[in-house]
Amino acid sequence: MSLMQQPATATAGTHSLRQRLESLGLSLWQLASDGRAHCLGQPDEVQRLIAHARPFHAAIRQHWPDLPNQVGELVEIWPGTWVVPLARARKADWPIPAAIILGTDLLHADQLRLVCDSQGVDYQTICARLEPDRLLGPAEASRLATMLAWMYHDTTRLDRSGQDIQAISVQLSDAYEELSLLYKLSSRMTMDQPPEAFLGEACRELREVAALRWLALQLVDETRLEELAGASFTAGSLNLGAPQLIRLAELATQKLDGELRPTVIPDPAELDLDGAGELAQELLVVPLVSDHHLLGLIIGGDRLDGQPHSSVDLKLCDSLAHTLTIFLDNRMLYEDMEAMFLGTLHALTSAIDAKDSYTRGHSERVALMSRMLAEAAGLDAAACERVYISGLVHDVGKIGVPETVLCKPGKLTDEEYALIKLHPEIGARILEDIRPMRDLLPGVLQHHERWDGRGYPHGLAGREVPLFGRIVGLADSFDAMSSNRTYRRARPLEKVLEEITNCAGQQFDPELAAIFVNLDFGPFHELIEKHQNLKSD
Amino acid sequence: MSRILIVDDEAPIRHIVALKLRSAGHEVVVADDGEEGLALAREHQPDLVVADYQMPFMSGMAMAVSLREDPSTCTVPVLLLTARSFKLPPEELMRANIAAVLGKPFSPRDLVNRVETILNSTSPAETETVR
Repeated sequence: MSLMQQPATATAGTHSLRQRLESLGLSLWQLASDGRAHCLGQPDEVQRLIAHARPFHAAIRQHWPDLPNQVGELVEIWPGTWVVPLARARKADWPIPAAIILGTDLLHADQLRLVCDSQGVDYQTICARLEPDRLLGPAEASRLATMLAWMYHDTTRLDRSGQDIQAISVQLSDAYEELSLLYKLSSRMTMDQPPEAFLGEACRELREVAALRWLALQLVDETRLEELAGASFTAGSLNLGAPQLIRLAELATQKLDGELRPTVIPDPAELDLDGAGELAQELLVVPLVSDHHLLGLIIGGDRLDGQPHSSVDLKLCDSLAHTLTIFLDNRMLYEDMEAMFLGTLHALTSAIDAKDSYTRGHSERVALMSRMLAEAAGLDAAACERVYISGLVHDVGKIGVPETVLCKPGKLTDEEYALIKLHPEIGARILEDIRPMRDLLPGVLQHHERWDGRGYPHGLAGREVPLFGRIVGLADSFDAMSSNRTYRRARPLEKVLEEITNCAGQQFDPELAAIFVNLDFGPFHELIEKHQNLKSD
Repeated sequence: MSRILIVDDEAPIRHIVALKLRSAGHEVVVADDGEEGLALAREHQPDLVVADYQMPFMSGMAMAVSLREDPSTCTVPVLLLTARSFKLPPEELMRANIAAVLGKPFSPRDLVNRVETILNSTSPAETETVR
């Protein structure tokens, strides 16, 4: 099967029909109601002579009313000259497609002589041109007429099918474009990249696929959207400041009139916004709707090809709006969950810290310094977040240590100290059944191990101590030294950092210690202040 | 204008690709399996072949290798369409003269861009030196 290049237009069918007729020595004619005949292509000389003669026109006019009922039949114009209507005209008085067949009788017909005389052509020359083997008898001509009508019928049907395939291919191609866009975006719809990056990319992709001059996404200013509340994203050639875009979105929302469905604003110039007329001939407006609630609007400018927006454009933008709504919904759920998770942990650790007024805020500060240390040590963003949570819960096990021991002002007995030393294991046991926290258990279980192997509970040394344990342990010691304890006063920062440097390679991982002493301690002191204020309240 | 051979057993894909490439001004020849594709490539000497990876009788990959082995078609670059899960080793792509791989569902617009890139990068001068 081979389809060489051929423009699939309405003429493709007549083109192939013409070629077939010409291979039979015939031509495709169009007969008009005034009797005139127009040839599509190059007619044979004798046929042209006849078709252009007045007597021929008169004969056609005379036969005209009957021609539509004589498709595939021989209509005798004069002896040896037949016309074969190939189809009915699509409308009355429209030209009828036809073939002209010449028969043997033409050589003896007076009409041929008349035609030649009237057009100043030599009759004898014409007769000599009429090859006897191309002139047909009535039976032969009749069979040919039937065949021609079928051929015409089949070629036009083939042509129409070709046009249908073309139209379907166009739609299919659009659907493919849409599918590929949605596929691409949904595969990138992950929670670990900044939502702004995803939304910005979605705008750029949609503008390209929909072939619009510009596209904007304006989200509503609502607290549930957190950092995305009121955010704008644009792609393409849109010269509009953020406040104007917000105003445009407000006006467009009014135009939706409560109907949260895609629409086209036909005359933007009438909007109550300066320069709105220059934005576009018409605006495409597609709302992002979650549970009957407006989350934002996609606003599109004119199409690059200057055509008005089609239902396909609206559908494409609407599909994308649905995808973006799902993304935003997921995002909000994710953030709610995250807030719930962290909130619960904060509540839990505050409860533990509160057992001893001296350790209030301790867990939060250890979490902060652990994260800062992890960041400075080059851990990836996800790991730093895990270290933070590990720091937050590192002392959870103290819940299993009696308050009398935890808050004892004087020196501890060996038995009491043994009780204190149980808290990393108690903490790990408490948390080990919480599946999403398993990866941060080392920070809880091993935050009292030492680089030189003299720590507890397992006496691990050097890099045997898991990284989370080394980080949280260092942050924990730093906070202990920097704040008041039942057994001693807080030490100044320089002294603490000096102590950390001195203990590098003994108590602490020397590499981490070197990084730690260069951290910015501003945020730490802000937290200390915050906790002191809470205490005095 | 370049001559492009499209080989795919799925009629809708053939039509989409043919439609897009014709609208981009190219001459298009179509085949619906690898064997026919090979025969038409020899007959029409296309500037580029767009072929589906998975086809009955002869896969797009096998066809590309055969094109590469035939001196009359050895320089014709192939753009391979595959189901997205396919991952082909680069040395295999080199061996079969595969200039690009496009995963399905592909964007028709993207396909035309890729085709233009390949056609522009294989100028006649360059193909001469390859021979």
